Amino acid sequence: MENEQTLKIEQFREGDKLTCKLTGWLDPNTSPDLITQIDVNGVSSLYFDMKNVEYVFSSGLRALLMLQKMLEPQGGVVKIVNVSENIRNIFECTGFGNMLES
Amino acid sequence: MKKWLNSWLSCHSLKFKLNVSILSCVCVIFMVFVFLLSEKVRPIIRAQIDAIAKKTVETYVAEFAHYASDIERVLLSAKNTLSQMEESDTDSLEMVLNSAIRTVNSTDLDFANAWVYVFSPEDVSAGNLHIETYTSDKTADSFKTEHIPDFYARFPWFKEVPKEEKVYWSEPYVDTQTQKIVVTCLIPFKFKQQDDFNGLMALTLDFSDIQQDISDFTFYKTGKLMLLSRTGLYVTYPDPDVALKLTIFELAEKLKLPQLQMIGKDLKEGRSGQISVPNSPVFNDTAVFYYAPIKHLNWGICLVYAQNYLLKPVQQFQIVAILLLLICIASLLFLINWICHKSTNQLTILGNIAEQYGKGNFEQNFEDTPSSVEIGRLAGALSGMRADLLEYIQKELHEASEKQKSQSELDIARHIQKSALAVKYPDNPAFNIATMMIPARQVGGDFYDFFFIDEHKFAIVIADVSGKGIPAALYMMKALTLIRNISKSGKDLSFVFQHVNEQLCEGNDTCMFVTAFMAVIDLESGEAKYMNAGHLPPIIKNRDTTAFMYPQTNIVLGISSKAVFVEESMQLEPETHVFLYTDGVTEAENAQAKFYGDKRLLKVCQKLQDNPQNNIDLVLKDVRKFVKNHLQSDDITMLDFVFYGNESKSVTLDADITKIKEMIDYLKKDMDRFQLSEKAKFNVIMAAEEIFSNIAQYAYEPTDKNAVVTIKTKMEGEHYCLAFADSGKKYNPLENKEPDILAKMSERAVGGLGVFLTKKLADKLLYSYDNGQNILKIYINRLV
Repeated sequence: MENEQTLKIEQFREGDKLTCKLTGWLDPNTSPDLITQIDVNGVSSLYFDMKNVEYVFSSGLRALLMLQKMLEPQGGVVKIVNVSENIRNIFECTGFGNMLES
Repeated sequence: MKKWLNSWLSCHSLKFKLNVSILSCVCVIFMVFVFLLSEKVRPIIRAQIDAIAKKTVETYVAEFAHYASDIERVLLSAKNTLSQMEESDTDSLEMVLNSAIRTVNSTDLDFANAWVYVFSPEDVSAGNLHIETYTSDKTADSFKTEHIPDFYARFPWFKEVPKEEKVYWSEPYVDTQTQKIVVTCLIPFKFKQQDDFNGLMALTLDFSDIQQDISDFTFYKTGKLMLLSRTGLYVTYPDPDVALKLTIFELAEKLKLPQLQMIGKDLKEGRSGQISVPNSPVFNDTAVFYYAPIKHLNWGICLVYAQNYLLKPVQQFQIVAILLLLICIASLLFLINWICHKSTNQLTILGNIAEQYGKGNFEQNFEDTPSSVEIGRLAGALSGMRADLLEYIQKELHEASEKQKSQSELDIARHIQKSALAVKYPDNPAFNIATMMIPARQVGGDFYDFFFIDEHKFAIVIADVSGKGIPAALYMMKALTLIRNISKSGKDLSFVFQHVNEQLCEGNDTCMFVTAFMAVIDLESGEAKYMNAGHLPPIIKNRDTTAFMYPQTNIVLGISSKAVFVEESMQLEPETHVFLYTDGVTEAENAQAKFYGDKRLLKVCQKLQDNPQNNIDLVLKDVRKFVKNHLQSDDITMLDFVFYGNESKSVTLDADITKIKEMIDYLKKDMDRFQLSEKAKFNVIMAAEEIFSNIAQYAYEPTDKNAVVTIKTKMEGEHYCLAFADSGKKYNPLENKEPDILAKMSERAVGGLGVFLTKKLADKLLYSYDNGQNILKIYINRLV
């Protein structure tokens, strides 16, 4: 149980577009992985496929915000796709709604 | 044969059968009669004709014999006279001839001529003759004496005649002078003083009249007479090619009729007789020959006639008879058909009317005058049947409408009964319930009930009224209402049942009764008080065991108004099932008349799971599997109550973010105790994680070894309540400044989100600092 890896990140890069398929949770243990494992150099659109994500806690939101801030100098954006209704609700009520791919 | 006759009789109309049978009988009788009569008449006619034929032949024979003897007598007397005469006495010779001629003329015979031929006895055969011929006319006045040298050669008989003193008849021949058929009759004589015959006295008779006479004779149109000479030569014959040219023997050969030979032979030998020749070529018919010899001449007479022609009257009689038969059949046909029409016409009408009745059309009635007694009876019976049927139909219609009425009343009753049963399952985290009642009939005698007595006390009831149908349903309604109303008083079950029993006993003349089990569960404490009035033991399934619970059994309700009821109680563990049922379940019967039984019920109840509705369906499915298609005989009623309780649970975890998953897994399981919506569960997890992370990251100094968090959970009303307790720094997260969520992403601060999110998700947050502990309570409505 202890320190069990609860997030899996699969990255697919097409030119300046990077798609990360996430499986698991975005909690304080796993969220730093987004920063450390994803290389945003030259990325203008960073897509997160959250089809297999059960929970996105505030630490996850913070990590996404940091990525967004890292991309801004190079004109990049973070986009979230395939979210469940519950997670969509979390994004919207915390002001992260504009990250959601409508 | 019998089968065939029966099928024939049944598949044709009466008219046809009468026609065929009567007409065939008449035909057969008539034919037999005509045949017998004809066969009787035929021989009579034949005998009659034979007699006539015989008589005719005999008459001719007698006539000929008479003439012949006359002629012979003339010749014999002439011979005597001549033997007294001298040869030279020609005057006397003339006298003799004249006398003979006169004598012959006095008879009916035609006389041709008479002559005397004188010759020398020494030379009669050698032809050394002195011939003198005397011829004489009928008038007998031209007597001549002539010498004709070849006279002897002209007549063949000269050679044989003079040998004996006897009349000799020649064969018929044609006279060269008159061209008429003649026959010469002669006798040898001797003149006076002569020793040997030296003369012939002859009379030539004209036979042409006789020939004509015989030729003209007809016997019943086809019959003919024929005269035959001594040698069998036809003297008369209808065919001129035969007359005087052929003998009977020659004709027999020519026509290939051996019978003619026999006739010729018989006649030659002087015998008479009768011969039939079938298919004679002359008549194309059976020819009958009748023949007799003529004495003196040694000739014969033969009568021949066509037999069937003579039997023609019989045939004519038959034709007339057949005509009569046809007329008779025609009249009979007419008569039979007329009678049949008269009698079957009404039968057909009756048949049509009966057919209409069969189709339900009763307008027609038989109003004619019956043509026979039988039809009268039939018409009467049909009319009676119509009246009965109309009455019956009226009655049936009335009954059907009554039945429909009572059916719709039953439907209403069923509806009322159904609506009296509790339907809306309360939505409460502390328990779950499902029920089912399938009445065997339109309305049932079983019932279940469930209701809140107060906020924390929930009652479940199952009951079975004795009997079935409307009476049971009415009694059931009364029992249901009483139990529900008296229970609401909040008094204990002994009180409730005593009062219900008293009132059910009142006026219960039909001695109906109710078995019932009722339990009141305290949802806070899990204590269940229960009462069993003669009902089947409930099944209790908790985490470990599934078993029947045998409570103290009280008397059934409605029998004894003074009965005392004793309440019992038990403690329900969380996740305990109380499964109630009626005997419609355990005594469900299959086609082999076996009961479903409590063992099988207990076995299936071991599989009871969280969802009571699924559990009820599971049991019902098992019952149906057992019963198969057998008719349901009793009401089937079930109730499954699952108690979850409202126990407060707690867990203590290290205040470390690596314990997040452990905490979430624990909460997930804990929430299963209560019925939380998926969204509520999600919100609980979200809020709990934020608070836990906050404590884990900020409450304690990293060196603190006793960094733990205790989480207590329970339901408070409709809210799932989590209380987080830590002994870290005093900190009220509710006083935290809210982040500016409207700020642009680039300007957003990274902190403060967790508490903000928790506030958003929770319905209520309470913070207190007590006994050195930060206590944060989160309330989340279980049904968001």
